[in-house]
Amino acid sequence: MIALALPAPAPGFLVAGVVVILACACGVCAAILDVDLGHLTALRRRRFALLEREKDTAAGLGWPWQRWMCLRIVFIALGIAVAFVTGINLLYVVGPIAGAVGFRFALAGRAADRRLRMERAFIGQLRNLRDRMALSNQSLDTALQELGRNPGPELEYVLSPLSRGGSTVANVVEMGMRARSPIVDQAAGVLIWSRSRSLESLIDTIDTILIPVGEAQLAVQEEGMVSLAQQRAVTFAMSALLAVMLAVLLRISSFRQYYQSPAGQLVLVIVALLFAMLVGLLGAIARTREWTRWDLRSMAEQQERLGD
Amino acid sequence: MIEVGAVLPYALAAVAVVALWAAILSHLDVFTPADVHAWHRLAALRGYAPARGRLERAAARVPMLRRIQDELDLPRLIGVAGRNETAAGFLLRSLFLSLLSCGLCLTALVVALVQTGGWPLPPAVALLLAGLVFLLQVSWLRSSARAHRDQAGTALGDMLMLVAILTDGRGLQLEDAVRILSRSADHRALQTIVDNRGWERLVEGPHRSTIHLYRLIAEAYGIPLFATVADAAANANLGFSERQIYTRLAGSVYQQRLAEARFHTARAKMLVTLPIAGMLIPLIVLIAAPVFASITGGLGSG
Repeated sequence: MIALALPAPAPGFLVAGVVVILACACGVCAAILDVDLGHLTALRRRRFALLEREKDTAAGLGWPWQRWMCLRIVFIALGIAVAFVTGINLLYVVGPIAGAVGFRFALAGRAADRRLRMERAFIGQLRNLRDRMALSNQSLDTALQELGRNPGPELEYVLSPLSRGGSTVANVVEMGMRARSPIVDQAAGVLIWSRSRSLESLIDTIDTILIPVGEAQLAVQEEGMVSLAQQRAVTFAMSALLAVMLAVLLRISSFRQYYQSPAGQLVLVIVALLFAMLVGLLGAIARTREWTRWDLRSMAEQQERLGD
Repeated sequence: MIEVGAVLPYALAAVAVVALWAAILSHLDVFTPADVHAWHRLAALRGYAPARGRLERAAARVPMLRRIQDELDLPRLIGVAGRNETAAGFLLRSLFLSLLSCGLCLTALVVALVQTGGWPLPPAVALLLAGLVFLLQVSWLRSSARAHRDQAGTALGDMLMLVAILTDGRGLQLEDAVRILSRSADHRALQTIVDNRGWERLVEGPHRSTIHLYRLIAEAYGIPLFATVADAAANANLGFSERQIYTRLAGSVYQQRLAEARFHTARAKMLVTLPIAGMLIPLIVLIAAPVFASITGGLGSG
C-alpha cells in the first residue's frame, strides 16, 4: 500500500480555498437551477408575510406593531432569564420558545375578538355614512370627515385618518392599512373605485354591495372565530393538564431526581415535542380560510391611472 | 497520512462526476450568449413557443421520462403553480438535486470510511436520500400548485364586488377589470393566470370570448369560480345589469364560504377529539419514563 504524506496547508489558505470552492459551487448550482432574481424577490416578500401576520395581531389588539414586537422580545428575554436563574439547561431552549409562542397564543384570541368587534362597528358606520349622504345630503368627502370625527371607541384608531383634510383617497388608503381587516379592506377598495361616481350611485353601491356583502363576510369571520375559540380552549386545557401533572410529579423526590438527569431531560424534550405536534395538529384542524389582502396604495394608483 | 489506494477509486468517481456535471452544464445552455437569451425573451413576450434545449428535446424522446411526466401530471402542476419552466426542465432539475444529495451523502460516508475504517451507515442510505429528495421536490410542487389555485380562487371571489363597480360604473370589460384588480392583490397567484396571457401555460388554442376563455381556465386550472363568473357574464345585460349580476355573485360566494366555514367548524368539533386523545401519550410518557427507568435500573443492579 502506497502512503502519501501531505503537507498541512496554512489555515488562511485553507479557509480561503474552502470559501472559493463554496462560492464556485453556489454559482454553478445557481446556473443549473436557473435561479432568477424575480423569484428571490418573491421569497423576500414571503418572508415579510411573517411580519405582516405580527402586524395583524398588533392591529387586532389596537397596538402599534413596534410595541407588539418589543413585548415579544421582552418575553423571549424573560424565558432566557428564567433559564439563567433556575440553572436548568433545558429551559435555555424551552424558555425562549415558550416566551415567543406562548405570549402570541395568549393574546391572539383577544386580538381576533377585538377585530371582530371593530368590524361589526365598521358595518354600523357604513350605514351611518349612507344615511349622511342620503338623508343629510352630505358629499362623500364631508360624510367621511364627519365619521372620522365621531368614530366611537372601537374605531378610533382606524377611522382617525378620515378626519384629516387633504386627499380623501389617501385617507381611505390609510384607514384600510390601519384596520388590516378583510371587511375594511374591501370597503376601502370600493370607496377608492367608486368615489368619483354620482352621490346616488355611491348610496346605491353602499346599499346593494358594501353592506350586504360586508354582513356576509362578517358571518364568515364569526364562524371562523368559533373554530379558533375551540382550538384555544382545547390547547389551554391541554397545557394546564400537562403543567399540573408535571408539578405533581416534581413534588416526589425520586421523580424529581430522574427529571434532573440527562435521560429525564431527554424525556422532557420528547414530551414537549409531542405536545407541540399535537397543538400544531389542532391548529391544522381548526384552520380558517385566508383572505385576500389588497394593496390599497397600488389600487389608488391604478384608479388614478385610469382617471375619473 | 492518507492511503492513496483507498482514496483512488473515489477520486476517479469524483472526476467522473465533475465531467458529467460539465456535460450537463453545456447541455443546459448555461453558456448560451446573452443576445440569444434576449431573442428567446422577445419570442416569449410575443407568445411564440420557446425553443427547447437539446437535453429537453432528448428527454421528450425518452419514453420513460415522458411516462414519468404524465404519471406525475407535471405539465399541469407547473402551469397551476405559475412557474416558468417546462416539465422536462423540472424533472431534470429534480434528478440533478437528487444526484447531488446522493453524491454529498456518499462523500460524507467516504470521508467517514477513510477516517474510521468502516462504513458508518450502509451506502444504500445515499440512494434512499436521493429518492427522498426527488419525492420532496414533487410534493413541494404539488402543494405549491394547490396553494396557488386556492389563492387565485379566493382572490377572484374577493374581487367580485370591485368587478361590479368597474364593469358598471367605469365601463370596463370583465377581463380588463379582473386583470387590473389582480395586480393589486398582495400575491401573484391570480395575476399569473389572467395578466400577460398567463393562461397560455395551460390553455391551448384560441378562445372566442372572455366567457369561453374563463370556462377554459376553470377546466385547465381547476378553479370552478372562473366557470361561475363566465356563466354570470353570459347572463349579464339580459334583464339584469352587470352590477347586479356580479354583486349577487359576490354575495353567493360569501354565502358559500359561510356554509363551508360552518361545515368546517362542525367537522372540527369531531376531529378535535383526536389531539385530545393523543394528549394521553405525553402524559403517559411523563409518568412511565421514571418508573420504567427505576425498574430497569433495579433489575440491572440486581
